[in-house]
Amino acid sequence: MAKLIMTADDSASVRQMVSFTLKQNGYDVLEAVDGKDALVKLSSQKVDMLITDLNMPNVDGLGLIRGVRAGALNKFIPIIMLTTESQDGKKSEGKAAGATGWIVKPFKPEQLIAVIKKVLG
Amino acid sequence: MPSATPHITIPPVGSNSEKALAGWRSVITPSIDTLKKLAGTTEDEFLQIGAQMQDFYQRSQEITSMANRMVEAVSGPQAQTVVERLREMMGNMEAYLSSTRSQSHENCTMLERILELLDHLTEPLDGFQKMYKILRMLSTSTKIESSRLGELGLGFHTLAMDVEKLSHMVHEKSASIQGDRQMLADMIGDTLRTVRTSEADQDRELSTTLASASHTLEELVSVNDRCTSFATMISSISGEVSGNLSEVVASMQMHDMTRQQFEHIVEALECLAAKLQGFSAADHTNGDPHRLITETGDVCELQSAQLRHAASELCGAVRSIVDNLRDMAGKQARMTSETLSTTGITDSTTGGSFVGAISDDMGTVTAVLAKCTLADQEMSATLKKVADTMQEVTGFVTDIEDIGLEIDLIALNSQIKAAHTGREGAALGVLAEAIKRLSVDAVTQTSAVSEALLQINHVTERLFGEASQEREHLGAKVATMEEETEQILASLGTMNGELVSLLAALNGKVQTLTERIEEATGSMDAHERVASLTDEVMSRLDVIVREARELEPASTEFKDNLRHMEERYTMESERSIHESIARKRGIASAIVAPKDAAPEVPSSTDADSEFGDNVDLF
Repeated sequence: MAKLIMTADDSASVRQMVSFTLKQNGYDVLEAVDGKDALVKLSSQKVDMLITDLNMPNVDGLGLIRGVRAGALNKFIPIIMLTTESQDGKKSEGKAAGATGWIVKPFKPEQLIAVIKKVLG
Repeated sequence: MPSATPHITIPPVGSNSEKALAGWRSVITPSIDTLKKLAGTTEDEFLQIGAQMQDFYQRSQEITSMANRMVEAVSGPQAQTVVERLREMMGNMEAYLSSTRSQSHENCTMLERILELLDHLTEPLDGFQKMYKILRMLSTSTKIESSRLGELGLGFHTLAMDVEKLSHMVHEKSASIQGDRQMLADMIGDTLRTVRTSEADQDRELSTTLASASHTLEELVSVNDRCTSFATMISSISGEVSGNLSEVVASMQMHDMTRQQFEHIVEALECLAAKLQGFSAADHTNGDPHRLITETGDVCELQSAQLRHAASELCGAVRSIVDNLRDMAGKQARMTSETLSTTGITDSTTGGSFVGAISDDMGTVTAVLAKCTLADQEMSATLKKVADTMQEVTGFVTDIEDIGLEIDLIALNSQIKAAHTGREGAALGVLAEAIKRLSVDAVTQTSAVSEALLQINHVTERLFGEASQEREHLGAKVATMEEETEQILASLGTMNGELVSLLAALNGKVQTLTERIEEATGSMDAHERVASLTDEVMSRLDVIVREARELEPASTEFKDNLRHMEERYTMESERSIHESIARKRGIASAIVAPKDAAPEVPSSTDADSEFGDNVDLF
C-alpha cells in the first residue's frame, strides 16, 4: 500500500507541486492549507510523513510540529520543513520543535523524493 | 557608500518638503494597491499551468513508454526469434534450391542418356524395315515358284502367306517402336528445353528474392543492434525530460516565493505610507521631516531593488517554465523521429517498414517455391509418361523376339518342304536358304532392339524411382518451408501491425503534446503583466528616491531606518539585496552574517550533502 504523506502549505501552487511530485512517485497525498487545518486532519488521520511550510496563517509550521509531537496518532512521524526561510537560527528552532529535516524552497522533485526515501527508510 | 553629491539645503518644512512628502504619499498608496493586486492575481494562472504540467508529464511518459515498446517490438525476444527463424528459413531455402537443382541436373542427365539410347534404336529399326522388304520379296518369289510347281508347290503357297504375314508384323511392330521412339525423343527434348528455361528463370527470381530477403534480414539485424544502444538513448532523453520537468517544478514555486517578496514590499511601503500619513507639517510631532525624507528615499530605493529582483525572478521562472516545456515537447518529437528512424519505420503515412518489405519478400519466396513445386510436378509427369511409354515399348520386345523365332521356324519349314519336293523344288530351296539367313539377321536385329529397349527401360525405371523418392523428400521440405513461411509471415504481420499501431499512436501523442504545450505556453503572459505593473511601481519609487535624495542625500541613517525590515525577510535573496544597498552606504550590515559566524545548526551530516545545498537533515 502506498505511503500517505501530508503537505501543509498556504500556497496552493506549492501544494500542487508537492502533490504532483509525490503522486508521480507512488505516494498518496493529504493536503492542508495551514497549520490549523493540518492539526485537525492529523488528529484523526494517521500519515507516514509530514511536509510543512514555516510561515502559514493561523498556526505556523513550528506550531504545527509542536502540535503533532504533542499528539498521539502521528507523534513519531518524520517531519520535513519546506520553506523559503534559510536562516540557521530558524532551522535550530525547527529542530528544537521536532523537525526531522529542512528544505529551502525551491525544491527539485528528485531532491524531495531522495529526502523522503531517506527519512522513511 | 557616503554620498558624493553636494548637500542640498532642505527648504523649511511647509514648503517643498511638505509638498514632496504629501506627493509621495499619494504615489505610494496606489503602488501598494498595484502590488497587492499582483500578489493575488497570478496564482490561478500558475495553478492552471501546474494542472497542465501533470497532463504533459503523463503524455510524455506515455510517449517514452511507446518509444520503448516500439524498440522492444523490433529488437525484443519476439523479434530475435523471427530473425533466427528467418535465418534458418533462408538457409533451408538455399539448401532446397541447391537440392532441386542437383536433382534436376541428374534428371536431365538421365533424360539425355535416354535420348542417346533411343538413338541407338535407329539402326536396328532400319534393319527391320529392310527385313520387311526382303520378306515381301521372298513371299512374292515363293508364291511365283509355288504357282510354277502347281500341285507340287501347294505347301509353299501356305509358306508364302506366312512370310507375307510375318513381313506385315515386322513392319507394324518396327513402325510402332519407331513412332514411340520418336514421340519419346520429342517429349524428352521438349522437357529438357522447358526445364532449362524455367530453371534459369526460377533461379534468377529466387536468387533475387533471396538476396532481397537476405538484405532486409540484415537490416532487421542492424535495427536490432541499433535499438540496443537506442534504448539507452531513450532512457537518456527520458532523463533529460525529467530534468525539464524538475526545472518546471522548481520554477513553479517561484510564484509563491515572489508573492512573499511582494507581500514584504507591500508591508514596507504600508509602514512608510503610515509614517507619511502621520507626519504633521504643523507641529512636527510625528518626526523629523529631514529624517522622514531620508527614510522615504531609503525605503523606496530598497523596495524598488527588492521589487526589481522579485519581478526578475518571476519573469525568469515563467520563461524557464515556457522554455523547459517547449524543450520537453521538442525532445519528445526528436525522440519519436529518432525512434522511427532507428526502428526502420520512416513512412509515417503508410506505416511502411522493413518488416513490411521482408513480409513482401517472404511472400515472393513462397510464390517462387510454389513455382518450383509446380515445375517439379511437371517433371514428374514427364518422367511418368516416359516410364509408361517405355513399359508399353517393352511389350514390343517380346513381339520382336517372337518375330525372330517365327522367321526361324518359317525358314526351317521351308527347308524341309524344299527337301521333300526334290529337284523340282530346288528354287524353293534357295528361297528357304534366304529365309534362313534372314532369320539369323532377324535374331541379330531383334537382340539389338531388345537390348536397347531394355537399357532405356532400366534407366527410365531408375530415374523414375529415384526421382520419386527425392521428390517426396523435397516435397516434404517444401511443405515444411511453406508452413514455416506462413508462421513467420504471421509473426511479421503481428509485428508490423503493432509497429503501425504504435507509430500512429506515437505520432498522435507527440502532436497533441506539442500542440498543448504550445497552446499553454503561448497564452502564458503572467510574467508580462507582472513586468508591466512592477515597472510602473518601480518607476514611481525611483522618482520618489530621486526627489528624496535631492532633498536629503543618502546617509548612514539607512541602517537605523530599515532595521525593522530585517525581521521580515525570509529569503536569502532579500537579505542580500538589503546588504548590497547597505554596503553602498558604507554600512557593514549584520543581516547576512558570514557563514563562520552563523549559529550552529546541529544537523547535516556529510551524507546529507548528497541532497543539495538547500537540504539539512537533523
